[in-house]
Amino acid sequence: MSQFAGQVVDPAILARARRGEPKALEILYRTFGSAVQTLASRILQRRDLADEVLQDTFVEVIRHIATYRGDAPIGAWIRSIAVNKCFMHLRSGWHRYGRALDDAPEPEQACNASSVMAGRDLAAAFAELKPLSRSIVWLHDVEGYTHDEIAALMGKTKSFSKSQLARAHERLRGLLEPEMVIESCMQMSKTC
Amino acid sequence: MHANVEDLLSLRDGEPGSEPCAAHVATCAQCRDELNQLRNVRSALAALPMEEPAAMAWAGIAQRAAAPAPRSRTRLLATGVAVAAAIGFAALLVVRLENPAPTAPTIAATTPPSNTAPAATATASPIDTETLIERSRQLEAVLAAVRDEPEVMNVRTATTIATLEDHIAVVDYRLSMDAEDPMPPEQSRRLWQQRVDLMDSLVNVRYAQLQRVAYK
Repeated sequence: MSQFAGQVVDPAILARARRGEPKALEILYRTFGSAVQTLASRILQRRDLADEVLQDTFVEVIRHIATYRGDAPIGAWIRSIAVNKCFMHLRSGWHRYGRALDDAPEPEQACNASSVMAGRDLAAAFAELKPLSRSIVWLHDVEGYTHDEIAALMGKTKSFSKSQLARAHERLRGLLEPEMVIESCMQMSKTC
Repeated sequence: MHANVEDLLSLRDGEPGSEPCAAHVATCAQCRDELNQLRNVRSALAALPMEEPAAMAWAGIAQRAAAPAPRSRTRLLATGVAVAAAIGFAALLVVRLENPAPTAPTIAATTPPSNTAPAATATASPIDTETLIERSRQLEAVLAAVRDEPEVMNVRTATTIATLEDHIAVVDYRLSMDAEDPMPPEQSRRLWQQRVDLMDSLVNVRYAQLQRVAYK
């Protein structure tokens, strides 16, 4: 379950935060800081970038909280800012290094590398996914985004989101149990 | 025939239309195991330990939100001149790249900034992708000259800048996905055009805002 959804903020605190009261803003930070740090760490897989996302997110929260209308939970609002900041970092990585970021021969080649072992830790296997796959898996499976929401966020179709999620899970499975032959089960027709 | 992962995920997530897959899973041990595995991965991901922010993170956030770095008026004026020169240079390059005839430049360096929509680029025919990428690089260089935030910034301008930056991030993210899922050339060209338009607007907003502060 999303750590953002699991947090409740007292409406009085929220009202004070919207007026810009420092103590109330700090309470918001204490409530959602870990959730933002975790989201950014999982998607970006770099502590320094996650720290930047945390800072950028809450600076934006502080500067724009007066514009928060309250039609969505405050956690969802903060999460949407954090997700946008993560995407900005993903794009700057791509921008800095060109397409090499996503062109890296990750799937099969990396899977056969000696670093991949049976019983491998899930967090480490998740870190091996491409940024796009990581984003989709985390947003869908942990944050509870629907495929429609992910499609809208990425300017893609719902079926793109679904197929990417399936590919990412196949990849995770391969990393976690590389000796397992995932044979026909992955390639059969859609008829069950 | 076994279920594929996409169908099993739909079943796991309770999406409509999963009934046939559910009926198959009820009779197939292999697919049932696969489904359980997918459930386990989701639960295990959600149960991964939380990451805690650095102890002093809040102090830095509060300081940055409350007090942007002070800048001297002399430095602002100097930056304004540098930015104006950079914009002029970029506009000149674009005109040379795109229009050999010395008519309408397509980057409107002196156009008033738009607060809601990217500036339209006035062209008779579509600009090719390579030219757009080059123009995008030039605009990045111009923006790099205005890296520091001014001492004074009104909320409307700040919101406009943040909105434009967010739109650019989304466009860039879509472009970055081209490597994994190649898009048709025309779609790629349109995205680059969109990026240039957004960057153009951002440059105009930052420049106009810098001028307002510098010449107060």
